[in-house]
Amino acid sequence: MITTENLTKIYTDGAPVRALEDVTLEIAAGEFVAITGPSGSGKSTLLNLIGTLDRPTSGRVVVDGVDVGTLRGNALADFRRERIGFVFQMFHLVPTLTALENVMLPLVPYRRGLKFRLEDRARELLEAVGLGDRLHHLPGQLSGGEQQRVAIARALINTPKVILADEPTGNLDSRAGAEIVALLRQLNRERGVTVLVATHNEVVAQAADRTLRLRDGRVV
Amino acid sequence: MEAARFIGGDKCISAIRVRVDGIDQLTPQAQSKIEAVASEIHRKTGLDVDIMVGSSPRPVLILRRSDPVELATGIPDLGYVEEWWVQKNVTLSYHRRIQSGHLLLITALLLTGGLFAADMAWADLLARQRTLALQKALGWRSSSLMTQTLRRALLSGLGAGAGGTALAASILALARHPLPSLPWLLGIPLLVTALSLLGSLYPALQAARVLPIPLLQMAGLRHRARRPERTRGRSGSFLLPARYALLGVARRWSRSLLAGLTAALAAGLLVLLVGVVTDRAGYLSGTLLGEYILVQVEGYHWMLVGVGLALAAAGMGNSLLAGVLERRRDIGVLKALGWRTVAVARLFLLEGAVLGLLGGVAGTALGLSVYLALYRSVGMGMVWALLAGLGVPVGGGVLAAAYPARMAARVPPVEALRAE
Ligand SMILES: Nc1ncnc2c1ncn2[C@@H]1O[C@H](COP(=O)(O)OP(=O)(O)OP(=O)(O)O)[C@@H](O)[C@H]1O
Ligand SMILES: [Mg+2]
Repeated sequence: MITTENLTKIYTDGAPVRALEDVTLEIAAGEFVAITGPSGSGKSTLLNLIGTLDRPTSGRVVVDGVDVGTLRGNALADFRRERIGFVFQMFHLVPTLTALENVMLPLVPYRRGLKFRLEDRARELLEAVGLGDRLHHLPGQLSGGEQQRVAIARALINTPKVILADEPTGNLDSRAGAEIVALLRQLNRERGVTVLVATHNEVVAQAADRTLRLRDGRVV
Repeated sequence: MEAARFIGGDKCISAIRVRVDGIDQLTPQAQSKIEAVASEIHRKTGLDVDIMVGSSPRPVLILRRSDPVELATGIPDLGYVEEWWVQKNVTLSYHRRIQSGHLLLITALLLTGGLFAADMAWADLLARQRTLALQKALGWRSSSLMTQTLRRALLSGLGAGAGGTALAASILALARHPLPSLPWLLGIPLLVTALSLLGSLYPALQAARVLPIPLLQMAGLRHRARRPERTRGRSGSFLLPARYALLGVARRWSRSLLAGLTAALAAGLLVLLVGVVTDRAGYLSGTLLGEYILVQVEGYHWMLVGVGLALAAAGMGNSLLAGVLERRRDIGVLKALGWRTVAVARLFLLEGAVLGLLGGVAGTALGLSVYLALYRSVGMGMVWALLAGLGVPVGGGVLAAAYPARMAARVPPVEALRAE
């Protein structure tokens, strides 16, 4: 499902930082993989490159058979919308929109071609993550764990092939964190979504099928 | 009299128009010359002579009271009647009325400028909040912060006033048009400065109120720290962009209000002028707040509206841009979720349209009420006026949103991940 070949990222704004060096890895469809490593080891950088949020200095990323390096502009946006779901550490819900609206958000401009009613689908997903009674709450009225579930429901709205989660439990206490991990694990099993989680959290790593360790931008 | 008899025969003549040659300006000399001619006519023919300006008939409202004979025969006062070209007063009062009409229009424009100045001062305050908080934390007094803000307004007002006057003077000079007299040339920059100061009074007060500590931790004026608002209504996916746009406008309500009011004034003026041109043959006349007003709508009135609209667009653009810069994170998230550039741009163009529409609605209401106060009835032309009053601000809002929308569309998706 995900392949990287000799992936290297050097940040050049300011003094050059070799954030990722020569990373080659392969993740099969349906796998639940944890990426661990000390702070600054390049976990977020790797996820951003796979998620096409950023471009590598050199090397290749292939997701679901598509060499993402060949995509530009609209094609890139479409690729993200159709195949990738993001879950961020800071949730990043739009504060002025309700839970339901946040979940619909990715597809709002593109709802015309859909084979389902966007609102119904968003409601189903919120029910699936256990928030069926919080549809019209604003993010500010939800706990951190609940906000992260909304974010997960949002990541699922486009039935992505891959979910990329960067420290999804980083802003949650251990119990809420464990619930989020269980939810991701369950979605992975039931829906066959490939899940890639960058984390410091041992509990998350233990729930994973496999753990990739990074140090100084290399897989160890 | 002989000429009149020759043309009209034995029919009654109610009025004869006499044009005095060689008068092209209203000066005291001209006035006395006209009066001399008038008294000579009166002396030689015994006719009553009224003096009026202009060479073509104009509608004039006069108060027609019954004289004692009429009252005795039971004819009541007619009240105000509109007469063509007959003017029961003397030249200078007529002149004053024309001026008060112009004054109305100019005042509207000045008000627009004042609102724009207030908007700029407010934007400046929002941008400097952290600095202000720091200064306060370092022991600055509230009054010093206030004078600092006012001083900025003073400087920018003087700069803008002097620059604008110099620009206008050079355009006049290029067009070989006589320059206004020195008092005006000096007075206008001072007036602009006064407007700028006036507009920054409230921002200065707010600057003095900035709290030292909380602002260092969280950006945004007080309204940012409000408790989470209750969700109002639901919206399907269809209305979501419109709601987001409206929320965006409401979020920066103070700036939106200022920019919207500027647009409203310009739109109001537009409605009034279009209504007057289509239904009243281009004559703005009537009694407003006890003042009789008479203006023929000319090219430069449209220019006033144009300038007002330009100011409004600049204000809206500024406010929208601030909104985009504040929400870079939101925009990055949309990008990361796979929104195309065009979809993001459209969202912010919509916000411009919403802001323009709010201004347009307020302005149309304003323009319509002034029109009704003057004429008490509307004609078919009002349809055009209303369309213009709503459409032009919306168009202006979309235009004003062009640059902010471009900035929004350019936000890279990684922005979603950037820490504060
Ligand atoms: N935009 C950037 N510009 C410059 N350097 C960057 C940028 N983003 C990350 N880096 C650097 O790249 C390296 C890897 O960063 P990255 O964020 O991938 O680490 P991480 O493993 O996610 O760390 P953490 O566990 O703290 O989130 C770090 O040294 C970081 O300072
Ligand atoms: Mg990280």
